[in-house]
Amino acid sequence: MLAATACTSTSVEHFITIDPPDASVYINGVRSGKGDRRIHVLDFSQAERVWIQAVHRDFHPEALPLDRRTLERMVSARTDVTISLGRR
Amino acid sequence: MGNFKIQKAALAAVVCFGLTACEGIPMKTFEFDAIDLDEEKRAALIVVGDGGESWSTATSKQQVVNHGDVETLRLEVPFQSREITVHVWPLGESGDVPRSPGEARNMVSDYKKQTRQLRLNDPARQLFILDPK
Repeated sequence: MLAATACTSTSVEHFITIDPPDASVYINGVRSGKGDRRIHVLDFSQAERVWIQAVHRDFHPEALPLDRRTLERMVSARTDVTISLGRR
Repeated sequence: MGNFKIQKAALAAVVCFGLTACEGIPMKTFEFDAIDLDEEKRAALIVVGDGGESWSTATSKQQVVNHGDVETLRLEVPFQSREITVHVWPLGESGDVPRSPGEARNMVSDYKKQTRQLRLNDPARQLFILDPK
């Protein structure tokens, strides 16, 4: 996992896990794949926060704003960004 | 001594210019969009701030997304405080744009209103995922 997560001056690569895993993930309003545990690039070059959103037709959608400091703490603690959607 | 005075005056001018430039209200252009749970685009009214003035601005300027010829809405937003509130009112089947919060509450829409606090340094693209009632 340490090999898989990385930080550059403008972006952080880290695991995002959504429950359910077949939910769609949007980062800063752009679709970024499905919700199964996978690495996403979180870009801080243009903004101080990234907005992570998850959507699935059978669940309530969620939006999570994350600042870089919080994300880097999660990387250090080896904690995934996790969003659990509530069933409708 | 003369040079020192000139330097001081130049420095004061620079500081004064800097302060004047900073006194203006910071502005940021956001791009708003709205989708539903099937990730299909949905029509909505974007209201920035609270109160009647925000509503009259939103309706007079037709701050809508996915409505008529408009898809995403690019909107320059003033930041008079650290955070601003953005309300997203889903439009009903008729596509009519409500003129007040009261009219919006009575409007028949299958989706709930959403509210988000935005900061000056947030990403420019702001997507709202509308939740059915």
